[in-house]
Amino acid sequence: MELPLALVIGFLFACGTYAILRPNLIRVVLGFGMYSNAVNLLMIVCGGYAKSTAAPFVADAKQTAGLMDPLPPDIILTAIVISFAVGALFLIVCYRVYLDHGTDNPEELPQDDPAEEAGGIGFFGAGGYVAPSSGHEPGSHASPSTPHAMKAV
Amino acid sequence: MNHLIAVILVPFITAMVTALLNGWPRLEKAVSLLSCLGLTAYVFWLTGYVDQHGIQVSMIGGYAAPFGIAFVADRLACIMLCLSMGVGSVAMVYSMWTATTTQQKYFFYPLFHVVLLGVNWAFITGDLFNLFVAYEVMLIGSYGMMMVGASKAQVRQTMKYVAINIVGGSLFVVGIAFIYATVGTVNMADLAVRTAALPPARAGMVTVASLVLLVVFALKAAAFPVFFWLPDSYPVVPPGVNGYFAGLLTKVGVYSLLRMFVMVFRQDGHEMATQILLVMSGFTMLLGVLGAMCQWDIRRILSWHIISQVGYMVMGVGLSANSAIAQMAIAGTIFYVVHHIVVKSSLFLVGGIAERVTGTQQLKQMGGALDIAPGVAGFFLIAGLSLAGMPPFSGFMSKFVLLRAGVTGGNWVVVFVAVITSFFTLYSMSKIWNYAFWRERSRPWAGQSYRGMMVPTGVLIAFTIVLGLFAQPFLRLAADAADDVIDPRAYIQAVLGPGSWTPSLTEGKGEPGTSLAAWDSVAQASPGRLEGSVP
Repeated sequence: MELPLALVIGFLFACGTYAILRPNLIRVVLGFGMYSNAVNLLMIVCGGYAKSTAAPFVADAKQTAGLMDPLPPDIILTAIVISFAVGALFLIVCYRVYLDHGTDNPEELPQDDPAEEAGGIGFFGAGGYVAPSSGHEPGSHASPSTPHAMKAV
Repeated sequence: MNHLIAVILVPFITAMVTALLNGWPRLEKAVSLLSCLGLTAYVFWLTGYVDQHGIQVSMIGGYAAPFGIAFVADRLACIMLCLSMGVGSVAMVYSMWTATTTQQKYFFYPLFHVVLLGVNWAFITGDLFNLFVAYEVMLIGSYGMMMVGASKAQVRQTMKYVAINIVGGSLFVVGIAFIYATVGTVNMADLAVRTAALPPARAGMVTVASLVLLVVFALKAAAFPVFFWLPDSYPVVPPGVNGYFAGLLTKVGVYSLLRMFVMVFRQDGHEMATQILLVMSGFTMLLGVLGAMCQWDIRRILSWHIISQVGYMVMGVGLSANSAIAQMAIAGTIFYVVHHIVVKSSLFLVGGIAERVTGTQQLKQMGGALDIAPGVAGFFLIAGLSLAGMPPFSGFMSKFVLLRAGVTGGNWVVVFVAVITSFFTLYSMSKIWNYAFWRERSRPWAGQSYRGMMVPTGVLIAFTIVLGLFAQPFLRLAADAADDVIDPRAYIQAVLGPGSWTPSLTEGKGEPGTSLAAWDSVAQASPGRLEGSVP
């Protein structure tokens, strides 16, 4: 049972890597989703579930043979929660980048030009820090003129 | 020692309380400050206690050692906790002067406490998987911190930072999975015992898994092939927090390298990782400083210097492959970490004041800060010279110990690179000095008050002078901490109980105290030598 799972894990990692290297933020997010699934499957295989499958409830402390190791599922649960939270955050960040710049192609994002840095992130710029006061309603942002990039999903 | 959990519980509760107090800024600041100072006092007391009474262990939930999660406070963890909370308090006070109302409105203080929580957690935990969770908590806090205010550049850089760290997190779990499959434990003390006892046929698997973890920690520490994310992302962090990020976040990676590759992995062929680290360190130092030399944005220059400095610490870890100099190399690394965290944070804080005074972070537009704010210029001079390694300050002692270890071990190439790098660092620091402070004033003064920011910065500056002049007690503590790491018998006994170690543990890692003769020269070079011999 380990060989098919190994193939699945390898396939997921390959797909994830391919998606992450595409110039398209939504695919990068999906690629990371595949990574986290591949990693969790790897953890299942490494827990040796194929050899011992009984649920790890111990009635008699001496009868531990054949019981599954409970630690890998525990680790996987934690890893799932974390990858879900970080994945959701990453999706939001990518969406904000798309709203800000009107593209979800990382290669089309502006390089760091000093003028923008002085106004945008120089906290003590000559006019003080320019707070992005309207920055929390997506509609009020520089609205994407050509939402062509999103339809590539 | 069940109160060890305070180092993560206090920031956690404070983060939640300050989030609830978001509408009352004064109350929020008061709670933040109280929590930071209280926890700082606790970790300093803990360091003294651990130094006298040995390693303290707390088993979370009361489960027995290899199964439950262990929180372990040894000397190294305590030193790192002191730095985390000390610099954290300083950065917190500094931020109270610099954080804008917008930043405060969008949960600046709660996010800061989440970062503190993650960093403290990474230092105190004695469990490999728990270390992964600590990393993620720290990172989630830092994502928020990096985006607070949400300007275009901030969101864009955060996107890159999140992406690179998700890859790191996935690799971390891959490494843990392989290690668990081969060795069957994730407890660090248990790992040290079991990897030492592994038959050579299976040791190779652990080496492979450890190299996966090496990539993860190098990514976090911003070492040579994977440092590219740092110079882009750090300049967008708010100034006070920038000091904390610059000091602590990359050092969590260095700490993990120290902990895992010097203390935990003891299988056949574990030297491979440290030898790779030695090669990486040379490239990290040189490329970091070359990157800094061609930048004209003060925060970018300082960010590139973080990379370059991380090279020195990684070099110390790499030198520990040679057992004759292991103790000196590790003690030098720990001392360097202390020096670097203090000096780098103070440089970022001084840079923040210089930005405030001159109204820009572009070196070419700065100038004349010496006239307007001579105190700031003095602070920068001290911190800059200390970073470059000039004698009266802490940079000299820390570089001296590391280079001494390298010369004793005959690693001439990396020693040569380290010396060249420190010359380049001096050049880069004098560039900032010439342009930002010494030159004629080219713009009107921004006219913003900066006096309140001088006090927390001054605390760090004072500490780098003390650390340089009275290095002896700190070197003694670093040497003891190095002994704990090189010879983990005390650590293992504290976690797993007595009689749980095998004699083969110290094989190939060097007995503690083997390089006493080499230490004498270090003791003599320390200007403010105190009584008692080293170590």
